[in-house]
Amino acid sequence: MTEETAGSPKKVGWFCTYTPEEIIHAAGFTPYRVLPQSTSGAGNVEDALPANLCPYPRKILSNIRRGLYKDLHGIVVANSCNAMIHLYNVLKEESDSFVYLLDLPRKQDGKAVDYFTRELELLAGFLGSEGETVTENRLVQTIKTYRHKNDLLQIMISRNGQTSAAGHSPVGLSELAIEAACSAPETFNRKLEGIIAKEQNGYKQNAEGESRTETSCLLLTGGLPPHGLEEILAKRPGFSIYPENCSGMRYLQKPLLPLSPNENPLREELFEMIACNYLEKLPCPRIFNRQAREDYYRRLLDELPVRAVIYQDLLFCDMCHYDYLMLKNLMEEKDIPHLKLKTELGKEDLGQLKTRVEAFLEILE
Amino acid sequence: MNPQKLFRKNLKGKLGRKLLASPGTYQLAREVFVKRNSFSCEARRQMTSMALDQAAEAYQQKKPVAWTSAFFPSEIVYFFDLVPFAPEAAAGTSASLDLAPDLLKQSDHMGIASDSCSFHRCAAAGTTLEYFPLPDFLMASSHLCDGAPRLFQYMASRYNKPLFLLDVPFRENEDSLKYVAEQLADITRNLERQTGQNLTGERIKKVFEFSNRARRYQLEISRLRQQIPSPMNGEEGLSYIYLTLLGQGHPETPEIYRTLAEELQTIVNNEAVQSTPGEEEKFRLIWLHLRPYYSSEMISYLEKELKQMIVAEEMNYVYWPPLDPEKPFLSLAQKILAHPGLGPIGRRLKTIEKMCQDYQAHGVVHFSHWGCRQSAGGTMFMKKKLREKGIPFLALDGDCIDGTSFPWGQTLTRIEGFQEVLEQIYS
Repeated sequence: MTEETAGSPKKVGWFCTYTPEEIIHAAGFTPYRVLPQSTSGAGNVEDALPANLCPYPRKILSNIRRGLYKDLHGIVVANSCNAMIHLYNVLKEESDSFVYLLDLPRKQDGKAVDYFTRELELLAGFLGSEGETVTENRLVQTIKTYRHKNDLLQIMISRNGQTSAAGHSPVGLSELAIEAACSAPETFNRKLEGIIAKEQNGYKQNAEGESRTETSCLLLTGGLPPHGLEEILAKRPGFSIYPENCSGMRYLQKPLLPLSPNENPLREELFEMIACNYLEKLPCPRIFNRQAREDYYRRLLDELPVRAVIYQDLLFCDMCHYDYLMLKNLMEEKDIPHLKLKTELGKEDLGQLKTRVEAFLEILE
Repeated sequence: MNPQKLFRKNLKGKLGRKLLASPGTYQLAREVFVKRNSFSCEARRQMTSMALDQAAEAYQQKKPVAWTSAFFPSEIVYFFDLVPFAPEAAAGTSASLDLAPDLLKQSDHMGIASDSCSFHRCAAAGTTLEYFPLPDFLMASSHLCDGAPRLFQYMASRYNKPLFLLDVPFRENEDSLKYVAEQLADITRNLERQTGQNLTGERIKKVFEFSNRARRYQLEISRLRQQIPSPMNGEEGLSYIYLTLLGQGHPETPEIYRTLAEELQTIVNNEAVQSTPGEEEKFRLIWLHLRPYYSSEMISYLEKELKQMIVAEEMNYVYWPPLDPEKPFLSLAQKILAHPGLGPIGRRLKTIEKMCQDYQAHGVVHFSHWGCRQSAGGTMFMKKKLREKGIPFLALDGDCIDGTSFPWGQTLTRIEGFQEVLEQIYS
């Protein structure tokens, strides 16, 4: 993890969507989301992480050991769950670059925001010692950049939804979210500005003659989706995919930071703003707010044309297991067909996954 | 037939459920088993009596019942004279009564993932099958366990009862102390409203005095177990985890520990006169995490056959400072945040190394409960780090509750292999 691309900002890896990219960016780094994209298994981690641990950290460690992320200058691990803490233990031991553990509240109230604010200040102090000092000015500039990124993403989602995202990349919103989380925000913003401008012209031309066809959608929720799932789904016409997961909408739909260009906030206010913003985003199963999660699911099932639900119940993930139980009741209440998948995230599951998903889709058709 | 065997035989099915949900069963059990049966020591008899009384009280439903997760500070429960009930401890009991296989099957029917912790699977099934006393409140803490708060959310939703969740950060500093202390204060204020009781300084003082006295005797017990040979084995020591889970702040707990300390002191005095040190104790071990609750075979083989004596258990380790009634919430927060298992593994490793030194242990055994992400997840890393320090380490894979797939043959081989390693190192 020591080789760096000459001239470009150093990348700092992160995993959990509650990790504030703005602070990493304000310290002069490019935040880069490390996802288990490799198709290979995790056979080279048995000496460090047991087989009965969540496949996400196992695959990450496997990939890092294979040298996939050599260009990372450091890693910020959030205290998302016990599996992530175990990953931190191993990375801290093995990595030549810095590895920082960020404490992350499970509540969303004012006390949690206060605690997270102090944690973010500690993070900024640490990252500042590794990169550029995180000054108020740098934070304000970064917040503006990310606010713009968020604005652009909301335009992409709200104007065209899956159609626009599908035009942007073959798989749709998930690919958009992954690209957004793995790119320098300035570059990504320029790219989105270009796409939106192009689409605006296209829509003007099509506005008189065509209307969009409403399609039913597949709600893809739960843990990180397994390798190849969205490609399998994308090959079946008739459904759009709504990825309600942390590599999809839960990343894309962060609330907008309320900073305006004329404001001159204090340093602590800036951290508090970021802390509040992250803790208030769409709740993930980790957050101690079952009701908010249930309300959110209800809203999705009521407002989207959901034809069916595919739940990725990540192996050895307690958060997913209990989240599924709650959603299962809702789906039964609303008589929505659903499929629960349990995978190791890699291509080792692909054959079985394809058979199960295709059989499910055939039933729907 | 032996009354205990007859009792166990009749526990399955509807009749068994009725029996287990009846306060009379526990009162009877107290009369029949506790008063008449012989116990390994008086302290154990006292603790069994206390546990049966608490169970009977929970099923009587005369006082509000609080379901608590492991590690939730039970002092809060005793502030309001609530009756504690620990579904995870009940799952352990279900395994010892051979009810766990049926409960685990039921949890599968309920859609609970089979890769979840079997303590939680059994607890959830016990809820559905109405084995447990109805809760008035549910209280769970996030520290160490990701699953328990989710299980408690699930159960609170089922019963539509107030749930108090404690979010415990991994970091131990002024900010985290404040965050935890404020949550504890909120929970207490909420309980004051719900129960109609005012928590007085006098009550806090009383509960903390029980907790602190228990702590002092626990330290005395630790000191006595550091003697060679140790006056108490792991089979016995592991049973006192009940007090760690549900006894802190209860008036009987210090008395039980006091009795145990006195009994151990007597053994130490007698051993000093009578026996050759080390005769029954070939190697001294530190035991990490819990034990299988469906069978004593493994620990018995380790201690009785191989003379590998468990001299201390991680779960009985006193890691916290005394509680200060003048700063009740901050003090409880300090206790919670001092847990060695919180956050990165460094604190746990330091504690284990200290235990090895204090108890002059020859090795460390970790029972890797299959569904435990916190403890079992760090096994490989711990093994590496402890071996670097020259501390022999054995990880035994298994499940505390589900005995159906326990690899006994493999475990035996590993235990014997560990014996050889210890002999080579220490001969």
